[in-house]
Amino acid sequence: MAQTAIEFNSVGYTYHSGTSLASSGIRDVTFTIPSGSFTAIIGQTGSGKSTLVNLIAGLSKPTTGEVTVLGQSLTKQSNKAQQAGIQQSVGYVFQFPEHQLFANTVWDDVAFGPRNLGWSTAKINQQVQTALEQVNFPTNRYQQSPLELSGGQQRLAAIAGVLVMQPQILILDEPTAGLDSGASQRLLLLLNQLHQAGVTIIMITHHLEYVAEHADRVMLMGDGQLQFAGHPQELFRNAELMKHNHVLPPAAVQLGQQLLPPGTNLPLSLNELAKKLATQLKAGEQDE
Amino acid sequence: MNVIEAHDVSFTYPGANGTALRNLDLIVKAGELLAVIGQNGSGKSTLVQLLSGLQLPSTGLINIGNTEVNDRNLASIHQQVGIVFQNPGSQFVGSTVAEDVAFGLENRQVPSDEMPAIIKRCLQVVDMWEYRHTSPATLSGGQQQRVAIASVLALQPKILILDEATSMLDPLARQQIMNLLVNLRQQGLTIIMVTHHLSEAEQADRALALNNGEVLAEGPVHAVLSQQKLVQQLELHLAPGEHLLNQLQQLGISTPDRYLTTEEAVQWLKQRLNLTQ
Repeated sequence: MAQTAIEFNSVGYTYHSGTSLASSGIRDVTFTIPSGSFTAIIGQTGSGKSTLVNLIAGLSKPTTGEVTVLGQSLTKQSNKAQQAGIQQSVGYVFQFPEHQLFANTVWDDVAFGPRNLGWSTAKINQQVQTALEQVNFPTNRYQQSPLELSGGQQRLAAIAGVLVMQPQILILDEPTAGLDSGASQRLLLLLNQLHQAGVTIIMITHHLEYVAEHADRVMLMGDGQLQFAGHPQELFRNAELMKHNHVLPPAAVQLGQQLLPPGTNLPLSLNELAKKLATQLKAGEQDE
Repeated sequence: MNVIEAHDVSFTYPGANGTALRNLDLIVKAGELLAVIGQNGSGKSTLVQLLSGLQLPSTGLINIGNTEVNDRNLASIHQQVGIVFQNPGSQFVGSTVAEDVAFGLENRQVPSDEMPAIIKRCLQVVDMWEYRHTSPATLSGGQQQRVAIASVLALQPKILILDEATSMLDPLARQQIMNLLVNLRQQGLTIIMVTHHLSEAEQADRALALNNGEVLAEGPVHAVLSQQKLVQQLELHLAPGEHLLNQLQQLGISTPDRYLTTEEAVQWLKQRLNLTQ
């Protein structure tokens, strides 16, 4: 059986806890994420997705319940050192991570984390090189200022800065936002490769097409609570639950409902839908 | 009437090796919805910065209305051009939605007895009036972006520019923003929208395609989007209908050679499948 990477046990988190501004981020959330899985987290903005991943990354401590990440437990009573332990084993690619690039060159920006850890120069150089190669960053731009790069390249540089720390768990919050289709596909390919290499991937996304194609698990957040955890196919066929949580089904399902006979098993990707339609269209031509 | 005229405009970022935008000519007419499309790094955001006076052209000339974009006219340019960026959170200053809209008006020294009516009208346009006492931080991304648009509209710009303003929104919120833009255009506002999504670009009147700092194509939106090779080169996120038709074509089904919106594609497929009465 696959090992558990992350476990939430009745976890709640309240913002500004104990003040008059207290507002609930998430309530009574329980789940496990197996090691090496690719989990997508979906749900409307404000549904608790970011609160959830902040807890996984050790950036906040639960107000109630217990979070366990790679065997390290975190509760309300935990101290800073326990939080730091989790933070070091989890890589977190924030929304628009390129806003946090600051060094004079791409190379220095990626090397910043390792230098802080006091690694040897040889090890730092090797890891930085590996991380930049992993994201397919153009070699002739290693010494350029991050400010001179395109948005897509900045995103890759920022991700390399997270990968260089070799996290066992990688969290990405809307990693394709603002990227063109090509850059998005290349980024997803990279995530697939990391997934193959055994990294546990957790991706917040609004793109259900990506969920259908890449994730092996999906968690749906709604109103601060976990509404669904399981296989994407199962969720996408539950129209009622999706609608209740203001999530539109993938485009293939929406179009399939209009174009395929009622009762047909609806394909989740447009490529599958095209295959079904092509068969029907060709059969129609032969009848004529 | 032309609200924007750009002639032979080039721009190089200080200290950069290459030019970010080269020899751009552009005319935008009043009341048009123009989609600016292109890959990351193609010069879209540079164009937005130039049209709004956040950067000045290295060479060439830009007129907004009758005002030339130069360092003496910046106040007038900022008054005529409103921008909404990718990340709405970074634009908020007020502790309630209404205060946020009021902020820009106060900066413009709009008399305080005129403000309530303006705030109400603009929040109603974006369907956020009921949230006027809410803190912007607690709103959903789509709601935040609608408030950001209201704050810009309150200053009565001639031109509204959205620089990938929907890129971090969920599909429902995206649709709501697009519907709002189409309504504003019908009321006569000139809108420029930077996007990677064909499903958004297809709703514009005209499209400007940039590649590597140069204009690759410009014209009525369907004419531009019907150039399949161009659309591929720009690495746009295909609209679902276009994606489906492309796949069908690869599977040996002949499809129309002009661009179809998703709605048109569904209608075309329904006819082919004999699903229409």
